Amino acid sequence: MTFSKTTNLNVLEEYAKRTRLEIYRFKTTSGYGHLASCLSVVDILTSIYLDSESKFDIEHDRLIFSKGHGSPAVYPILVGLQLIPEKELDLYCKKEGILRLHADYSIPGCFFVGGSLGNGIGFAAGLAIARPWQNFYVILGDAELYEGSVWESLLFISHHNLKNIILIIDRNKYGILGATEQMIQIEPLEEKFQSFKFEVHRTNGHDLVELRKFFGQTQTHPRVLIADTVKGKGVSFMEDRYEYHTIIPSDPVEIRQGLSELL
Amino acid sequence: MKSQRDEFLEILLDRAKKDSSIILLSVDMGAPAIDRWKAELPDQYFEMGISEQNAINVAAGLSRGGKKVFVYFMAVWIHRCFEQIRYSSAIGNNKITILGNGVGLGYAPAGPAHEPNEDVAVMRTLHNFQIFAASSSLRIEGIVDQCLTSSVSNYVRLERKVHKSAQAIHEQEISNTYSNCYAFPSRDKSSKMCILSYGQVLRRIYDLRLQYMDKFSEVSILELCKIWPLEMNEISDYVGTSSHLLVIEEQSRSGSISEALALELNSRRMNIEIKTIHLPSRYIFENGNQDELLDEIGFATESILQEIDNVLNEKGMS
Repeated sequence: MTFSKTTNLNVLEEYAKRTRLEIYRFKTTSGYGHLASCLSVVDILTSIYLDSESKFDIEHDRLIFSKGHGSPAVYPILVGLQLIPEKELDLYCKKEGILRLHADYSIPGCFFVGGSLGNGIGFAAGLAIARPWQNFYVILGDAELYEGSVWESLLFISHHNLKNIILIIDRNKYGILGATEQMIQIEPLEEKFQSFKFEVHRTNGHDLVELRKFFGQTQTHPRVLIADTVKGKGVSFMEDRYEYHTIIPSDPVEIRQGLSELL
Repeated sequence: MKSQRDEFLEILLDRAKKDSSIILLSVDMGAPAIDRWKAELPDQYFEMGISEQNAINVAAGLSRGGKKVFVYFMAVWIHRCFEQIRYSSAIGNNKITILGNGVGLGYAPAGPAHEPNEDVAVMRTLHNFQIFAASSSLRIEGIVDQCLTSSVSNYVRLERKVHKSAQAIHEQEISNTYSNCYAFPSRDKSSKMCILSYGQVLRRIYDLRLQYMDKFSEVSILELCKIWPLEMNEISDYVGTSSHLLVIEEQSRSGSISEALALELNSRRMNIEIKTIHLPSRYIFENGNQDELLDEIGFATESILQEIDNVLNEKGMS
C-alpha cells in the first residue's frame, strides 16, 4: 500500500476509501478501540497528509491528536507514506505490534500520547511557542469541547495570537451517550470560536474540495475548522449511531456488510 | 532574608539570562522576583491566569519543544491539575519543574483549601518525577541546579514563610554544596537515635539541638533535600547506625515518606524501631498560624523532646 501526495481528487477519494477499509479491518479483527470515531476523521486526514495543495509538510509540521481515541485513523495513512511497515496494521494492539489503541511518541509520525481529552490543545500551544517555525494541527472531538481545559487553552492561544495553531473540530455530533445537542449543547460553535478571535471556517468534513480550500490556505492567524462529519462514516448501520462510539461490530454478518460497503 | 520562593526565582532568573531555553510560567501568582522576570526577561515569562490545567499542558508542550520549563503556583493546586501532570508531563517524560509554594500549613489560617497535607503522597505516586524540599533558603541554589539538569520532572516544595532560626543555624553549619541529604553530625559517627525530616519543620529540631547539646550527643539528624525517590543507599548508611528512627513530617501519614521508608528499611532487613510525628489524618479547620497549629498537633519542641527522652531513657540507654 503506497500513497503519494496528489492533486487528483479521484485518487484522494481512493486513498480515503482504502484508509477506511483498513481501519475497519484492523478494528474489527482486534475488537479494540473506537471505530466510529476513527471513520469520521478519515477525509480530514487524507486532505491534510495527501492533498498536494495542503500546506501541511510532514517533515516540518506536526499533527496532534487531542482526540486520542481517533488517532488510529492515521495509521493506514502513515503506512501508505511508508513511515510504518504495512504488516503493523495486522498487528494492531497485539503483543508483537507497535500500533496501539491510542497513538503515542513511540509510533513513527505520532507526536502526542493520546487517551485523555482536553489536553492536546494546550500541549500544542506550548509546542507552538517553543517552535514558531512549525505549524501544529490539532484534531479535537466535538464532545471533547466539554473539557474545561480546552477553553483555558483557547484563551491562551487567542491572547498570544499563536499563528501556527490550526484546530480541527471533528463535528460528528455524537458523544458516547448520545447527541451533543441533547446532552449539553455546544452550538453555536462559530460564534464561540469567533469570540476567541479565531479565523473560523465551517465545512463538510467529507468534501475533499472544501477541505482543500481550508488546508491549502497559508496560515496567518490562529484558525479553526469546524468539520461537519458523520460518525461511523461509510458503514450504513453505524452512521450517526452513538451506540457505536465504543462498540465494534463483532457479528460476522455485520462485519461482512461493513466490508462490502467500504470496498 | 529572602523567602524560598524569591530565592528560587531570582537564582533561576540569573540562570535564565545565560540560557534562553529557560521559561517561567506563573499561574496567577506574584512575587518581587516575578516583577524582575517581567521586566528583565519578558520573552521567557508567561502569565497563565488562573488555569493550572492549561499551564501544565503548555509547559509539557514547551518542554517537548526543547525548553526548560518552570511552573509556579500554590502547592495545593497540584490536585487541580494532577491529571495534566500525570498525562502530559509524566507519561511522556516531558520534563517540567513545578514550584509549589506554601506547603504544609504554610498558608494557615486560610484553611484546608490552601493547606496541602497530602501533596507528597500524591506526587510520589508518579513515575518520572522527583520531589525536593528545602529547610531554608540556603538550600535553594543547589535545588535549582538539580532541576535544570535532572532527567525527569521535579516538584519543589517551597515553604511560604521565612524562618529565621533555621536560616541562622544553617549559615553557621552548612555550605551551599548540594546534597540529597545532610547529616548532623557527620556520617562517620553513630547514634542511638536518628531524627529524619525535611522542610521548615527541621528548624524545631535544630533549635532543640542547640538547646540540648548533651542529649544530641546521642541523637543524629538526617535532613532530606531530595525527598523522593528515597536515596536509600545514602539514607540507610546513616540511619543504619541507630536503633531508633523518629520521622517528623509536616504531612499526613497516608502515603508519607515515613511509610515508604519503613517498607524500604524492612526490605533491607534493618532492625530499626520507627516512630513518627505527622499532621493528623484529617483536614485542619482550626484557626491559628502555622507555628501555633503545629504546636497543638504534636510538633511542639516539648513533644519532640519527649520522644527523644523516651528513647534515651529506655533500659540500656543513657
